[in-house]
Amino acid sequence: MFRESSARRTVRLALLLFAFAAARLPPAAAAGPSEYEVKAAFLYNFARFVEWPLDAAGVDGTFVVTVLGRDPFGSALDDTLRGKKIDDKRVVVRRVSRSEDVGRSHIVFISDSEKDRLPAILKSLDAAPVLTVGDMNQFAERGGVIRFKVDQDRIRLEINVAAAQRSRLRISSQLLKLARIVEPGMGS
Amino acid sequence: MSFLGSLTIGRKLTSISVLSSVTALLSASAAFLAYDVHTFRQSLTRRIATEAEIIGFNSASPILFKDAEAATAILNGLTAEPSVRAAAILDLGGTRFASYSREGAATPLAAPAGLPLTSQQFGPQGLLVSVPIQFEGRAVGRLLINAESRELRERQWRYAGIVAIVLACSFVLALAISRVVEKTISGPVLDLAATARRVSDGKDYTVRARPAGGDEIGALVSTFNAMLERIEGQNSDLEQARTELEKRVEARTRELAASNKELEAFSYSVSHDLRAPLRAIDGFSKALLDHCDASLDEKGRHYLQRVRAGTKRMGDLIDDMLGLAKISRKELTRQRVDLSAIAERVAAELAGRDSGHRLRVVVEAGLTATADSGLVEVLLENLMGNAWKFSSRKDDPTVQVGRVNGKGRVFYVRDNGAGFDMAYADKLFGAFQRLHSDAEFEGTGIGLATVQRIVNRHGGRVWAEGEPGKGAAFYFTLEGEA
Ligand SMILES: Nc1ncnc2c1ncn2[C@@H]1O[C@H](COP(=O)(O)OP(=O)(O)OP(=O)(O)O)[C@@H](O)[C@H]1O
Ligand SMILES: [Mg+2]
Repeated sequence: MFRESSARRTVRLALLLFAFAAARLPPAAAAGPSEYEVKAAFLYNFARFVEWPLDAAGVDGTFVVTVLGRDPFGSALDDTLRGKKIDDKRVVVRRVSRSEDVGRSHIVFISDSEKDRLPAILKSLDAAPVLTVGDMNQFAERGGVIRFKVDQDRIRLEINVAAAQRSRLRISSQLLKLARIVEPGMGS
Repeated sequence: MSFLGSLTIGRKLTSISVLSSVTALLSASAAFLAYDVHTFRQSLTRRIATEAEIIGFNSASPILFKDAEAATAILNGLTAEPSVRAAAILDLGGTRFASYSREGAATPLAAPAGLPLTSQQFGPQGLLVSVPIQFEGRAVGRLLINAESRELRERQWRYAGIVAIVLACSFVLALAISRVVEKTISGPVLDLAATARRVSDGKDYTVRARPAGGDEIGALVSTFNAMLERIEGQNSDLEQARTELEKRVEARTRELAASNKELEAFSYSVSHDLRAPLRAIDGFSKALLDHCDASLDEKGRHYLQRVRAGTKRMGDLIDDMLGLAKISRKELTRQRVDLSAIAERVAAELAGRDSGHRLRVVVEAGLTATADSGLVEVLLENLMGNAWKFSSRKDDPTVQVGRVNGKGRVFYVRDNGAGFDMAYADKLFGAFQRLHSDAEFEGTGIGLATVQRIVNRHGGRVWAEGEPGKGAAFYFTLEGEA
């Protein structure tokens, strides 16, 4: 009852070997995605692992992603998020240069260009239900919620859970387990 | 089953019981094993599927965030499940994103082409479970887990061991039980066979087989015993009938001898008493002839002559009868008798009786017997006298006296005379029985009756062979044929 015909077994083995060989080859699109294409995708994924409080922005049925400062994404962010929906809300990308203009956003990507103004920016957003994301040094330690950290061609995540809680955001454990949890003021 | 044919019943029973117990055990084990394999596979599939569900759920975020390390860490949790040989997380394009393989297991896992996202199947490598990794209701990758059934195989070996031990034990047990049963079955059969052999060898019908229980063999034994009893009963009936018969024959013989003796005594006394009146008739007829010869005419004298001839003949008859009776009454004294010498003497006497007769007598030498010599002489006188008488008309009368085959106890007296018709061969020996007329050969017909009586008294036998015109032969023995 365990037996198969030997012909079938041979075919199966061949397929297995083929699949194994195929797995070894680089993917068809040989050039991998660029760093910011990945980061754009991650931004979108964050939205799916984080829960915003009910009074959060987007009453008008949009999910707002704001880039504050110099935009490092180029077209990647728009390409990634175009046509996407989160919680049945259309995703809208905005770009602002001043923290006062951030307004009602769900995610704010704080560009490296704003690193000197970070405390002020964070202060202005204090307690608002906004997920702050950045890739500058010490971003999480300084009060940002999620930081992208490039480490040996890989993008790692650092999360400041206290900051998230202050913003009344609930981050899924599935996301948390992938990230390094950072305590505020750890670095300096 | 022909190989069973030559075995003893006991061996047959043993083989049958061992065979059936082994068969029962093996088929039970096979069924049990099949069931065990089935349940084991079911439970393994359930366990691995559950595991896959959990891992699949946990792997969604690592895929979305391209965290192969985290995915690998999740897969490494499978170390706790020793039956899992290898596992892999593939992205939707089929590229391996993270993989796990238990130490020792070589090939990294890959999805065979055409494998549905959700599938569970057993193959030569064991169980291969594939589940989709889903996030928000959409597949973001696939998890493959390959679990081997080593545990099952180990279990099967254990079962095989247990079955082997149980088999050996039950084999020994069946052997022991059938030994006991064998005794109760083949024991009585062997006993029966031994009894039958004793009966057929020793003709001893008093033995009985040991009774054996109420089964078929018991019935056989009791039937056999009943048969022996019947035979024994019939034998004793037969024995009884035989002794009764013997007794009856003995009584009859005694009766016969008594009445024979009575008859002899009677005929002797009659013959004896007849002589006195006969003598008177003879004497007075002679006196009448002498005294009245002149006064009688020719006719009267002739009549008187006829009376005298009749008287003489009657006297001869009476003498012969008395002689015969005497032979019967005479005491028999057996001794070594030289028949040849007696025959020679008789021959000489016969030759002297008629000198004109050219008789040739050939007597074989060395004829002896243990008999009464006087009676043997009478016997030979009669037989040789007959031979002489009935061959006297021949040109070269010859009488031979000898022994059949040159030895043994059968003697004969043979001549080449008138012979007789074999149809009357048994009549010759009766008293006064004659086959030839007085005119042809004279005589009274008492000779062979005398011979018969003498032979009888010796316990022997006498018989005759003859052919008219060719001759006759008389055979006799003088001793009972033991
Ligand atoms: N050797 C012989 N050959 C042919 N016939 C014989 C011979 N001996 C006997 N018989 C026949 O058997 C009959 C009986 O014989 P058996 O000797 O008794 O009487 P018998 O010779 O005639 O008279 P008996 O001997 O009394 O003088 C004879 O009459 C004869 O017919
Ligand atoms: Mg005679």
